[in-house]
Amino acid sequence: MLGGVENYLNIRERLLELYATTYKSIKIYFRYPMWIVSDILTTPLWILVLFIPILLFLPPGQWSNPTYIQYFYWGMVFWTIISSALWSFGMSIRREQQMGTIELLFLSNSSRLTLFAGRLATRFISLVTDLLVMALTIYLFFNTTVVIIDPLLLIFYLTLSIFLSLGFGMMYGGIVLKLKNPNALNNILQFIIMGLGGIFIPVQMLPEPLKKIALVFPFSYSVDLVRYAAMGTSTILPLYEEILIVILSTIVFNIIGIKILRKIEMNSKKTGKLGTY
Amino acid sequence: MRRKSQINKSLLVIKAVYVKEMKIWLRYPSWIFTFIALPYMISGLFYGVGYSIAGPSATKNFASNTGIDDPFLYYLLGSLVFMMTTLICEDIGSSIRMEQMRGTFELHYLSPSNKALIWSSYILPHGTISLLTMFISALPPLIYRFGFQSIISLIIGLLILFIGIIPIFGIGLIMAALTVKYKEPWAVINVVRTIITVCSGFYYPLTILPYWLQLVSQFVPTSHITMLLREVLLANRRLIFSDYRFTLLLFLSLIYFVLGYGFFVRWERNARRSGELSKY
Repeated sequence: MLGGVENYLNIRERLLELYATTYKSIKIYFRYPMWIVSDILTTPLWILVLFIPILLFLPPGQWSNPTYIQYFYWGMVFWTIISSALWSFGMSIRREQQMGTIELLFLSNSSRLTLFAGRLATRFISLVTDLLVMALTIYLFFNTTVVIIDPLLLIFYLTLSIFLSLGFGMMYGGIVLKLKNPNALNNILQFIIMGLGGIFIPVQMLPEPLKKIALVFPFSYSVDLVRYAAMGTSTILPLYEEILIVILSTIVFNIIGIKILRKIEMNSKKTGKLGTY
Repeated sequence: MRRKSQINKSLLVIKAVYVKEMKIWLRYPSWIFTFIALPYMISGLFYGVGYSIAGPSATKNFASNTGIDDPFLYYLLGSLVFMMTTLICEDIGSSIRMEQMRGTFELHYLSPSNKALIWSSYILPHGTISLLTMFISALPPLIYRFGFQSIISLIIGLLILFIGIIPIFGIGLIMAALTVKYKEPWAVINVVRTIITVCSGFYYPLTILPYWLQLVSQFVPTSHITMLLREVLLANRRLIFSDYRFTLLLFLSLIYFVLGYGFFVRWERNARRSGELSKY
């Protein structure tokens, strides 16, 4: 049951919902082409702003070390995935609230997951663009080519990571409904995950206390699998244990996310706070 | 007597803008907490990753690359100036844009108040929040590192920041004019903000940039604010007011303020003629 309405929709109708929300988000995305141009122009510059401060800890002779640069590259890719999840769910709920359409959406019997996941389509387009622009940037600035050892496995692990972040985004989306103002929390959460999740460098390289904290975050394992497929690095745990952890976390996050969204939606409907922001 | 009443009226306008903007700020206190916490998070991320890849020689390498032996404070200070720049630049633009969205923008033009005074007053609430959050963020680590001697340096630092707010406000006014003219110019603002960030050296010494980019940086006021603050607060050097960077900062403050204000007034004049004021 979703939103208090009997959930009798079949797969075809669910796919229609997905088509509608994806179509809407793509239409909005391409309505502002300057944003796309701006993203392409600024991504290389942000790479410099983020990479150089870290490289300052190394002697200048090592600033183009391909291993470190590729660690940072995949770190940036993960940053994009995680922030997409946070901003997609958090911001799309907030946007609908501000436009006054959230009540109408919640009156429908559509899946809440589909309603807000539509924005992921544009985030995916943006991710692919970023992947290419970032690869070109690090080639031009750091003379490093991104090498992918096993592309198929990489696509599989990246897809798994996207679904993991989708579940995380849903859990977070529920909090947004409660808190109303997600921007501040988005910024803080992003840095906590990036700093403590072994995103930019393998967990094995982190100092001891941070290593233990990093092992708690499921994202540490998903980025580890991505690095394993792309760069051939060794994994923290045996490979199959890591895959199992990521798959289980994805399922658990998605189930909890749906439950949280449903509970907060019901509460907001009862208290009449759904449309207030 | 008439002059006195004019001054009173102007002060009332300033007070009204100040109270209104501060009220909006305090309505979302999570933002203030974020501005205090974010510099620590950015610094912690750089420091943590840098230390992890470089090992025990990390601090030594950092000192030889930057001339400063405390990476955490180096990044903290850079983050603070970065936050202040972003906050003032974007909030001036978005505050004026919000007036348009809420339909209150035209009402300002119906009031007998001086419009120049109204829009200039926006610098005070946003300046207060920026300086306050910076002060709260920077004070504990500076006192921990340098003791209470650092309070004098901090006061000099605040003076530099106070002057630094003026050109940032000028850039904010240009962004505001772009925002209200093109309705959704966040893309342009994003590019401008990124270029300012790259050229300001918030997180690295400007000397590692290509020579042509170092020259461009000389025209970006935030690069001088960052450099002067680092010298006063981290290298413990006394600020020499005849220092060419301080003179350049004063000069740029004047130029950017006049430029920003001129840009905004020009747009405003055109908008009044074409009836664009109320369109969004």
